[in-house]
Amino acid sequence: MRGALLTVLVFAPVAGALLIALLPRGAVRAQKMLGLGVTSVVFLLSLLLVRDFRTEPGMQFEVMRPWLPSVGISYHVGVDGISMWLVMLTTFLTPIALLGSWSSITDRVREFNVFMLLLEAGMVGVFVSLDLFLFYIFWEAMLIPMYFLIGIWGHERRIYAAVKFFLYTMAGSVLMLVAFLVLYRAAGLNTFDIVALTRARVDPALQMWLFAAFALAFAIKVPMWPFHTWLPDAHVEAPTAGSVILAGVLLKMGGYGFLRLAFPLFPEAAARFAPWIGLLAVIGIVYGALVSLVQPDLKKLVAYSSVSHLGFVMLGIASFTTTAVTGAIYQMLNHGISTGALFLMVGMLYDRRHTRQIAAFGGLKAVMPWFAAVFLMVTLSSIAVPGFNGFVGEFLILLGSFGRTLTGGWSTALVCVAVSGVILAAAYMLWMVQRVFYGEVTDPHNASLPDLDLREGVVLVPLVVLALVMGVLSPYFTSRIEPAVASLVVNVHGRQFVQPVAADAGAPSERGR
Amino acid sequence: MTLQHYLLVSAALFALGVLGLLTRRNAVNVLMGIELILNSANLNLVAFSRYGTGNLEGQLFAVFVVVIAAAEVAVALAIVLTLYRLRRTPNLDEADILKG
Amino acid sequence: MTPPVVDVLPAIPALILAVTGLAVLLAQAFTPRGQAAPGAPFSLAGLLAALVAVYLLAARGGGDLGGTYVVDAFSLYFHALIIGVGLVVVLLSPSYLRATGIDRGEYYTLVLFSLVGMLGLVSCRELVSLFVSLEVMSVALYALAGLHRARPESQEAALKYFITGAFSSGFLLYGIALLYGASGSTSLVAVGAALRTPGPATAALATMGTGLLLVGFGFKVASVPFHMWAPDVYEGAPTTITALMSAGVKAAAFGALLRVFGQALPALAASWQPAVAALAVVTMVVGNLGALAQSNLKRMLAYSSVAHAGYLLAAVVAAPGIGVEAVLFYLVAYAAVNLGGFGALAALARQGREPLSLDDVAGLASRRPALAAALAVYLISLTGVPVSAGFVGKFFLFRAAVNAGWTSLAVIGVLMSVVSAYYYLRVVVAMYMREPLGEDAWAPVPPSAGLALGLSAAVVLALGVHPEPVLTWARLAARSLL
Repeated sequence: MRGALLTVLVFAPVAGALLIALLPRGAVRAQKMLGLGVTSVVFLLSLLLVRDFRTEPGMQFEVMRPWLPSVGISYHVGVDGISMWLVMLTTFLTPIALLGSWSSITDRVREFNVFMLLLEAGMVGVFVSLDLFLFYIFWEAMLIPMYFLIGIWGHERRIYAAVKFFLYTMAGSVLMLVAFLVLYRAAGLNTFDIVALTRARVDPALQMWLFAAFALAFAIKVPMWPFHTWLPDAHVEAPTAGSVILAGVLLKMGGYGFLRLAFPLFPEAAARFAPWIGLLAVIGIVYGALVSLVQPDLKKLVAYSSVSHLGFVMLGIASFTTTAVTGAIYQMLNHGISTGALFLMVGMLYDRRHTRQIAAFGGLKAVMPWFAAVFLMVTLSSIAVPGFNGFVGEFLILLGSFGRTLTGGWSTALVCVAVSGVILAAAYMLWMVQRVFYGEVTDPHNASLPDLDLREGVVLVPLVVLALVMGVLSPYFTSRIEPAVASLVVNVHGRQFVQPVAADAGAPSERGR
Repeated sequence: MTLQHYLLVSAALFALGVLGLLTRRNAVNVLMGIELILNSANLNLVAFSRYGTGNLEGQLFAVFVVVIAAAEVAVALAIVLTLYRLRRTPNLDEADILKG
Repeated sequence: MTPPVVDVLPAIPALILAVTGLAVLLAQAFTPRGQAAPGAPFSLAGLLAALVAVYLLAARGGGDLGGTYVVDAFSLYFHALIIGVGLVVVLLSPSYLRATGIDRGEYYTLVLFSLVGMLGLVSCRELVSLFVSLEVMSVALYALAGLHRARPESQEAALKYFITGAFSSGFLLYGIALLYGASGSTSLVAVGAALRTPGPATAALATMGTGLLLVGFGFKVASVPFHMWAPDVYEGAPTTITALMSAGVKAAAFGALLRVFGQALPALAASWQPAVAALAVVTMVVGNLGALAQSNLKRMLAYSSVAHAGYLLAAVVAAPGIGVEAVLFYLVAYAAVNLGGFGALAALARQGREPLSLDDVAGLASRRPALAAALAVYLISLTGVPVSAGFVGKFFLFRAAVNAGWTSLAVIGVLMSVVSAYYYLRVVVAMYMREPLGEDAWAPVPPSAGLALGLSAAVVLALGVHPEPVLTWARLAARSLL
């Protein structure tokens, strides 16, 4: 069972998608139930991952079967402390996204559920793949359901956004495919196995090219400034479930790719490029925050805030110290939860009012008190208030990016600028909350908006609870991330970037342990 | 007469055939250009067989080519004829529905 | 003196098809005027029998007909592919022929004859029979392209196809003549042996001959700059014939190219490899950019077939190593996708019309969900996105190019794939993301065409997930060429 678990997690959604595709077109309720049922079961199964996870570095739940043996391609899956949590995030967010769009998707429900399930399979597949060929298959295959989700169920400019999303991400990843092939030839091991290739040492001059190809693919996915232009379009035009998955999980693949592939495979090149990645990350932090500040559109504001938040993630990865990378992974999870929740709530507002303009709202606190309360909690999580998960992530990143890091002499300057992003985040989020929820109800349309119903409550409560749990009980999570990160950092650059374990940050009571 | 002479004549025929094919408007002239090309190759084959290699494969080949050329022209004339019935012209540059 | 014993068994599959073709022709002659002979069932039976014969031949380990027509693993691979293409085309045909009013017996005869030519093209180890096979295939196709006698487009396509075809045959023949002059033989193996130790005069002849052969094959596989006939011919020919050309002719032409260049001309690799690489680059670029500008679906697919010739040529540069294997695998993936793509258009034909523009297929997903899904699968495979045979195929093509040291070809190839995503996706956008326009003008998908399309889609997906059996077979085939 331990061996088959990951395979089940990847392929159960595919089986579910096939089942749903076989249901008659009219059986809408059955299609929805089956979609939600399968994704929920997958989530419950994925809890076994956490239960049986051993707090140690190295791959677990590994399976390796020959697939195309003559070329050295195998079906190799496994998770470590880095990827396990991202798998969890995926399985957690998918049923929530489905339930969140329970009543807003009315057209072609069957196809919607099929694509959501295929998307889940692709995302889980990316995080568990330990073979480059397998990784690339999931990485690219996932574009198709996302493309349909945006293009069919999106808003006014959905076709433009869908095509832009597809072309942008595909353009980024095809060069990575060539880099795979060149790496395969240069390593001379006759294998596409990621674990084996990580041990191979590639000529540093060639590393630069390969790293650049990988970095382009991942930077577009993250997205890092200046490769972010597809993101606002895709996020704004996508249906709510699409935005949740896009922001919650898809963007994490970029950061994950840097950690799993680009940095370990090409250490010398990573060291050369790290300061520049850090610089772009910090530019992204400030740029995203400034654009968010002036956004009149709620969904766009959340979209640009993603650019800013993922800048923190990338700063942590570029710094490449144990603390910073742990923080980066933590921040990826946080961002998935808080931004997922924000997109869901913006979607709920849109369902009620059919507008996303901040100016159209005002005084909602009096009309929808529960909604306002939940929104405020999510906002606090997003702007990293202590006690919430966001604080732990950003704190670890900033702490770990200080001093002796892979960004070298730039580290202090980068951190100083990044801190301004924290302040700006508080500014644009709180200002938005103030304009939407406080003050007088100026527009009569807003006077009778219904508050959260039961379904919406069920969708949002797990997210808020998790945000709090991850804020208070962070050691539970970081202690499981840290060993994998430490071994990654040591394997790539030796012990120089290992910092004292930071698992206790955000939870001072544990310090005496 | 040496091999070189034959090769030169053949090359000239080939060039004439290509030229005819590229410049002529009338479909029948174009077909004649194609015949020239095929026969220039035939001349080569026979000349190589006679002066170069000493075996008969080339001459054998030439016979095959003559037969094939006849078959080709039969089909080609049928096509030209149907087109002529539809369009009332043997000129190729007036066959211009397909483009883009 | 006893005549030499000739083993005719290797030619049995081709003979079966030829005899079936004659039988269909006779049946048509004995059918009352105005009625159609049962050409499709006859042809299906013949093709299935030929497939069985191929299987038995494979079990027997191939064979050799007097050194000219050889059935080795390489030919067997192509036999199976070409007969498979024939089966799908015949399945697609009856409904299309009825819808366009060209349901006549000679259609199937000509299709079978062209298949015979293709079988010969991939099996001949001797230049005379190679040329004869090429002409058997081509002459049948000239007639097929012009089968729609009442439509000027069809006649124009036939004429253009004939002129470029005969032109390229002439180049090929001239090249063959020069190779014969250089080596004194028309047997591929003997040519290869003779060119390994050339004198100065022979070297010049052989290089010129190789260049002319490359031009000739360039026409046949529709590589830029010898591609200008492809869009016109693909558009004007009956759609099922277009499917046959894009899947069958391309496969057979690449088969012959690999055999000739791999067996007769390896000694000249240093001089033809850069030329093929240059052809590959311009073909990939011009084919894809040309497809971008098309609004007619058949023309778009025609340019895409040009572009795919470029991807294939990129791996031919890496022949005779893993390049051959990659080309063989990709030809299967490509054949399935093109049969599906053109077949889907043909299946919708009604009263002489078929969907040709993006508006024609707008909202197809709601009216013909299964057909739209299949077409989306083909288009995704053409783009080269997993999970599809097209992705696996491109992966191996570009791997071959990279391994042979032509990384730049792979880079251009993948970038052009991104360009291609734009025009392929336009069709998916129209089918899935736009509302249908006006009344439903298209035919319901006929069962036999549905079977053919389903088969193609199944092959595309199956090869995307589990390519190992076909890859292994392709590897065996590639080895038999050495």
